[in-house]
Amino acid sequence: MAQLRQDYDKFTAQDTEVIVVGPEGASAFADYWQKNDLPFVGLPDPSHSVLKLYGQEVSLFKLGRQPAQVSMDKNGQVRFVHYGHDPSDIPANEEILELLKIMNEELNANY
Amino acid sequence: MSKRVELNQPAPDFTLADFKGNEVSLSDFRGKKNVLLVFNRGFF
Repeated sequence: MAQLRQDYDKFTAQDTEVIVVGPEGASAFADYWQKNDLPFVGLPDPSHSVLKLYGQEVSLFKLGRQPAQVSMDKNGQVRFVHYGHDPSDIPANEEILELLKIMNEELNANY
Repeated sequence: MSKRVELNQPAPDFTLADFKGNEVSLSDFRGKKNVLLVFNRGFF
């Protein structure tokens, strides 16, 4: 999350909104956002509806949920999917930013 | 094993209230912005 915060401007520069979904309630989100001064959209999902819809992996043996990242282009198509297998299994922002740049170039080429 | 989303398919739409109570739908961003959805493993 700190890494995402640091690179947030780079995501914005690629015309990208960062949305964080988690199982915590609204007050836990509000506290965390305030404490860390986060610019992202934060969506509490205590009923796990979106977490299930997107298939976030839950491992009882690895203490909870594994991280996942999904990126959509402006047409609402899924263009990047990464399901982590352990808590540190998170793709580098550079990898995602490079793909976002390509997605934008493709879209512009179609106009 | 729960289902997962597939590459190059329409992303499943959803609507949730953000922590301030504003409704946010994935489709709000269609035609406007790319979206990076991050599923966290919890706040520490």
